[in-house]
Amino acid sequence: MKQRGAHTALEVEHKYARYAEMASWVVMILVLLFVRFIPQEIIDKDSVYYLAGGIMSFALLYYYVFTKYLNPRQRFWIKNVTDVVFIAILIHLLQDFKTFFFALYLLPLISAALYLNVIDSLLLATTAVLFVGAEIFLQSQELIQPERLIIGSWQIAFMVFITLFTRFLALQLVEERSAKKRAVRESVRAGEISRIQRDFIAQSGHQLLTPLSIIQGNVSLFLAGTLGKTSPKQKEFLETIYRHTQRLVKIVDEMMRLASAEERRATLHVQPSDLNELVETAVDEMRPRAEEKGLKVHFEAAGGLPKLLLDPDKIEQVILNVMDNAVKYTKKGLIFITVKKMPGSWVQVAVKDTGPGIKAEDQGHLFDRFFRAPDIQQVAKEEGTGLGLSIAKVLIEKHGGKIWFESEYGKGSTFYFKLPVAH
Amino acid sequence: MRVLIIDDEDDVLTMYKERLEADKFEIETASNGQKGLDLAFANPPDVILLDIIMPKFNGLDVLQMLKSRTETKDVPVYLLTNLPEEASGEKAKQLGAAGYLVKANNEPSTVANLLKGLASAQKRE
Repeated sequence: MKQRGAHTALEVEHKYARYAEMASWVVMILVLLFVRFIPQEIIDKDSVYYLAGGIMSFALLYYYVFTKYLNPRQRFWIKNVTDVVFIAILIHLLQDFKTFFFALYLLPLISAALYLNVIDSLLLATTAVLFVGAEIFLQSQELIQPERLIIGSWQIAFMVFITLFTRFLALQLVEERSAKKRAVRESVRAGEISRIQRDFIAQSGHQLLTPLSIIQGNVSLFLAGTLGKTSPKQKEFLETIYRHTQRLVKIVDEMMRLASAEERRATLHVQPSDLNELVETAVDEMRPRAEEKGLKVHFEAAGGLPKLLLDPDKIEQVILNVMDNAVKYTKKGLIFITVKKMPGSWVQVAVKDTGPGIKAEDQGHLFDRFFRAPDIQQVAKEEGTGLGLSIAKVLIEKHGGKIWFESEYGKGSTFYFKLPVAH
Repeated sequence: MRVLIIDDEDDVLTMYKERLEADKFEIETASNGQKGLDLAFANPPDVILLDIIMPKFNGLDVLQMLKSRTETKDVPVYLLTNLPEEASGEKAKQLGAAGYLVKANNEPSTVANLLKGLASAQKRE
């Protein structure tokens, strides 16, 4: 499911990809029809109609057969390649190098740049360039103007530029979108649960304590003599009522404090898991982003690691949150992730970065909800919710583990968390 | 000393009224925010005991209204409530409440003593 290049390009299943696909087919067919109006001397119409027939058949083949047997990305790749090939043939037949037919190349190049990964889209651009180059070469053999050569070179340069620029745009869009989605998800989740929790706690607390306080208050009126004289025996039993009411109040109060102190009521779905694998998957997911920033990512797994009882989704989230920070705030250098067996039945994961480090006055607040270091805007232009670490802390502690860090301002930080090995 | 108590529970009003009247305080009661404000503006009391969680007109809104009018803005308001202090203590202080009394921990006699202390402090001024 996680394809190598899939997360560095817009998804091919994206609805606009379908529209782009259909649009390019329509344009091609219109162009072929247009060919009909070109005078006979210039082209051999029969070959063009053979080409048109070829395209039609391919279209049928494409949609009924390929759709069944190939995945969207493969289909997309084949379509773009055939587009380029047919355009090259068309241009050759028409001997027309002018802008209109050349511009047809841009359709497959742009869609490849948007929806396919780097290598594929560059290969396609290279193929198109080769065709254009070949056409120039063939034409120059018939001794035509050098301006053809110049136009041709410009066209090649333009195609390369368009491909690279579109890729760059696509990457930006993907980054933005996934960062936004993540931030929204996190804050919605945390915000929603806290609000619901807080409302529930306040409501139930209030509903329990109101009658309790009235009972207690009324009994106290008896005991204080405000309601008239009470015999010593009456007082004794009233005092019993009073005492037990007080107990109840204390219990409810304590319960409410406990419930509101707990950040998340998330239930853990614990199962025996391979921590090395979990960390490695998370590292792989982070790696492209880090490497694009020019950071080196190094991962060292622990040897002979037993399976740990943990909730894999929650732990993966912890690792991603911690690594997300490392990638976000480190401008250059490396990110070093290790998994180690520690004495006393613990397994420790460390994420070390060569980032800006954390100031001493901020260190105590790092795991607070919504905390972001005040100078962080200078370090990272990216938005953050300030929830990543507080969520990580809650999740790790729910597993019976511990999360902490070491940091030197200006040098970098290392975040650690450890989880118990169950017996 | 005149005390206005605003609380949606009639039993709470009866409870505090019983004790405070025995201690010679003049008591006025209101079972909702609007009635409470009407009484306060018509005849400003010396102290107001205000419940926070009330249907329709929230206690904090009532507090805000009290603080916005000249005739009532200097009247000390004690928030009488069942929520633990962390729940809205900050907001209450921001709005200018004089204090926060958790009902379950502050039965009528405690409140009476508090108000007695307040009364003698006011006399001294």
